[in-house]
Amino acid sequence: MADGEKSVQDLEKPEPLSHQRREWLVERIGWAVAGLLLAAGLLGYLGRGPLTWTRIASEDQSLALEYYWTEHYQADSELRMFVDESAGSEDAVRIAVARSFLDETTVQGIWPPPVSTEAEEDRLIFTFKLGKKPAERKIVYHYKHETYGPLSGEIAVVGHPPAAISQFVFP
Amino acid sequence: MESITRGLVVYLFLLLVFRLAGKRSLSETSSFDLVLLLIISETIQQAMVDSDNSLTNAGLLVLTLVSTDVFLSVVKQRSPLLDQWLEGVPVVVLKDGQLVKEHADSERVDEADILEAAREQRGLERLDQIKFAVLERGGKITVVGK
Repeated sequence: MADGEKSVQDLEKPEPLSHQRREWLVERIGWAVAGLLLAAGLLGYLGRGPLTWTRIASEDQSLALEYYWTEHYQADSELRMFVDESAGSEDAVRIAVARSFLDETTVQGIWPPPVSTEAEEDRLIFTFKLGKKPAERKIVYHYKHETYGPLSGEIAVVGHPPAAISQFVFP
Repeated sequence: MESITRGLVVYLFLLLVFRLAGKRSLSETSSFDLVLLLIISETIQQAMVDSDNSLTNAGLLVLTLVSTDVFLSVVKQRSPLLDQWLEGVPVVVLKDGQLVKEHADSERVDEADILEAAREQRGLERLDQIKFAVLERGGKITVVGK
């Protein structure tokens, strides 16, 4: 047999097998990493999940926000706002959303729809006609993230302290 | 979480559908089977991804599908019973040149299929030259000559 030519006996030499053992080890480590990533994904640390649904409220409890603090880039997202009965005037509630939040997102829909929208330098003010019962004072805001990384912004009932929203958007 | 559950449901659903379709379905891809596979993958892709086109979602879905496959292969290796249910068992469809009619009919295999495998694998011309023809778990027919 010419030098350098492979034979079947070469398969029994220890070198390729030791390489294979290293490959199996790397494979098993990869499985463990995949398991950890899936567990993180199931819990919500790589997107929406039970441990990342959060509720925050403004200092005087006039506005409470519910949302996932981990989201995906360009995926449908939802923010629920709960306005306290004491907040706003008798016939209208004015909600101010910071531009820092609006600039990084696209609004897909708001329910109930606002009766008017006013633009100010650093915020947008939506005016809603809400009922007096708690269930009628809920606003659902659908949007998509247009950037990834950390995102923060403030939302407030006009004339009350704001509630600060803070999210991490995965690419 | 939604990405992972969607991936898992799709994997298990496809596993169930293809097991119910039998071993012969899509085992040898004809032109029409190829078109069918493309339609299935396109339909499933939309249901899996939904409106989330992010890289993270794609990564989680791929990880879910591959990990489920690896997990089931480990489970099948340790549980022969589960292995039988998930992969099936080889079925003898021809013995000593005679068609085992019950098996062949149940698996939708006919003499022409067996002869095709015999010509391809062993260069055999007639059924009486075959000792065994077996429909393997993957849907391929293998032939043992006399």
